[in-house]
Amino acid sequence: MAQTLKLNDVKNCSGSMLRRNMFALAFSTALVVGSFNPDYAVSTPVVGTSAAVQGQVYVATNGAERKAEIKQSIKLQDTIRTKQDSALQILLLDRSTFTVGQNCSMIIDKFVYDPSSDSGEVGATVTTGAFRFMSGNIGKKNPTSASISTPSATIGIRGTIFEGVVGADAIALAQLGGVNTNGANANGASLIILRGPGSKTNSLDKPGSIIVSTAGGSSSLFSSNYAVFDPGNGNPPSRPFKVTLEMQDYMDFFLRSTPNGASDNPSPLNDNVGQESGQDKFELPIDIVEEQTDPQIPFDDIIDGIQDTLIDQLCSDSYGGSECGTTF
Amino acid sequence: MATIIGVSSSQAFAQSITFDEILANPDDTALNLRYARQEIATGRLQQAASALERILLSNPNWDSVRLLYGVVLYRLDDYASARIELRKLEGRDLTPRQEADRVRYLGLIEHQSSTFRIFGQVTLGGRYDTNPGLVSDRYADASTNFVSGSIFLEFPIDDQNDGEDHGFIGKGKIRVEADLPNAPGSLWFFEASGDITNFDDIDRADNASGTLKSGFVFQQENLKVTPYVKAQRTWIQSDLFSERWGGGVSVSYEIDPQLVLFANGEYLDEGYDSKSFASNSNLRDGRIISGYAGAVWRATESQSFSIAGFASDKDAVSDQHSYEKRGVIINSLTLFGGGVYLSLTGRYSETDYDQRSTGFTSPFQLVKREDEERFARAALGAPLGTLFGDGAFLPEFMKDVVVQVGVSWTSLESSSKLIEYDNISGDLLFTKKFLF
Repeated sequence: MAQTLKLNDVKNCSGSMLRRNMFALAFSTALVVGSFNPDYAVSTPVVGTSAAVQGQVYVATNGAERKAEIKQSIKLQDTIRTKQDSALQILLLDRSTFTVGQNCSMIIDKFVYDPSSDSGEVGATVTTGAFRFMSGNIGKKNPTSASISTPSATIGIRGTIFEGVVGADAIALAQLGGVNTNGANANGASLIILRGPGSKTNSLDKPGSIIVSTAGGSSSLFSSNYAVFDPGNGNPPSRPFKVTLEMQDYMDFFLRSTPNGASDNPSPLNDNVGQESGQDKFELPIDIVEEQTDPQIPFDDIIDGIQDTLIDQLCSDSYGGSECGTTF
Repeated sequence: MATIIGVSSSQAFAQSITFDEILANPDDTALNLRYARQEIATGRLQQAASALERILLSNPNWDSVRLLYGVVLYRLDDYASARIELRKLEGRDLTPRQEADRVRYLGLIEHQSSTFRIFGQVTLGGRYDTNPGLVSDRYADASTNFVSGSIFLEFPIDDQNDGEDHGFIGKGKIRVEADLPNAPGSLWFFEASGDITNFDDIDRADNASGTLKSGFVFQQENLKVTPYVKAQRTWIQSDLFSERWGGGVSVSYEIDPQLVLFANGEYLDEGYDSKSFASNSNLRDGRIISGYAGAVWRATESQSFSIAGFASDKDAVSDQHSYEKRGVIINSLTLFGGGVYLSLTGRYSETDYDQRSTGFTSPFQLVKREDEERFARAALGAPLGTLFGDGAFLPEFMKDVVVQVGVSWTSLESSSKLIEYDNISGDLLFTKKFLF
């Protein structure tokens, strides 16, 4: 019964038609994912799963809130809420990853995905808190089809990992970065950081980029670990600025894990992390790339000098060439 | 190299793990670790980072996974996050090799994250040439004014510079970079480089050169534009032979991570000093305009190819030294892992001079000088640490010294037969890169 819904059909749908078509896609998608999602609701499409849960995380489906548990489905329009010292990682069906930090509130309000062609659209709204988003197949296939919204900005994503903070913390972080935050709205301000892949990525991944748009204008990020601040008052976002160490510590506190006990290594890894990570395959220990991209003729001067020496020899009296060398 | 190949083979997965399996079992750390390794092996680093992050959310004390996560973030050019993860491991219970790697990558990150960077490299070694004096196997006759055509009397002209020889090579380069404010990816740079080659017996092949270069790199998305100024000097037999000064522009555009286009245009004024051994060198004074354009194609993570066409136009005081040159250069670079590489280069050029050279030919020979140059080189290099293994006798600072064995062949064919030559050169070089 699975049916393939073309992206143009979705884009051209009226509201009611759109809902019917999204239902059809969700139903067929639900059939695809049914083998590991036994408790889906037919009327609410499943868009992903809770992959890691830390602390107090709540998911509300159609207004009914439950405590999040690993392997539970995440559905379209579910509201995710985290409390202090809590985090949630969501895996979406197109391989996107959403990591939600403490005191965060967000909703995945758009998800259309055709796995046979990796086309579709993904969108979410974050109303407060810190989050990280890594785009999956949809964002890579069609860079304009993945976007995250905050109270006053829309973030267009192109095959990338980025982090964001919405609310008063965004203003505090921007101040740490030296940005003028006068007049910023504590309820709507946001700070967006591009993480990677950067232009110096040691892989075949295309460098990522994001565009932050507000009612007043837009600002683009192309370099990793640069940030843009949206004051949340309708004004345009700031120009890109480099993330400081203090800003980095803040984001890490909210979005990453920290060791909290003795070392524990359940499975052995290759002691050579360069090999384990593939980094050593890319490592050029010295500069030899210039030979590829800078084809200078290295020893013309030496040839010239030797030839001039030869001319002198040939033109010397001992060779009887008294006239050569004077008729240039 | 056998060890490296063996490790690479171990990363081949008999049965690949699907994303559906991960969706169904996101809390299975063993499955997720295998999945992360699979994604690393297939180049999907973002997926690998997601899996490693997931493991660490449930197992925050799994230090070897955190070390791997940090290096994967480093590969993604997320230096800030990589630094945070590697710093979390300070004082933790890592193996000596893991701790050495942690410190090394942290050092690389600190250096590359700095807005002001200084780095360089030094090379020392030796070479052996079959014909360093670039002596032709032709002979001249004693009366060059009266020879017709290409018939020469058998009269060796260059026996003192003929023959093979070995010598010493030294090279050095230092580069300073400073990021431009509010311009991500853009920077100012200054570069100084020099090299010296000193042969044992054949003095006329002794040479040294020094180059200063400074400019800016302006980056906007995938486009880099580098305007620069340049000054260069060359010494032959310890005497200053030539000076060049001028500038140019280089441009590169990354179509995607596997294909980069590049081009360069340069203008240099040239001044030559007449020497006791080369009294008419000043007739080469003038200017040279040159350029090249090409592409680098990264076929796989470990194999890339480049090709470029180049051309130059020289206008000298004497038209006998004015020419148009054009050619092509190709290169293959193969990475075997552990810093081991093989570089193969080939170059061909044709040079047409504006006027025949009376210095090399009889006045009855009316043909203008035309040269064809061929060059080929193979170089195989590896860090000493890779060659001798981790637990060897090498002090830490020597493990990243790269030893390179190279062989080159150069050939010049010319309408002026007296300057034709062939030379085969072998070299053994030791290079160390420095970060300040």
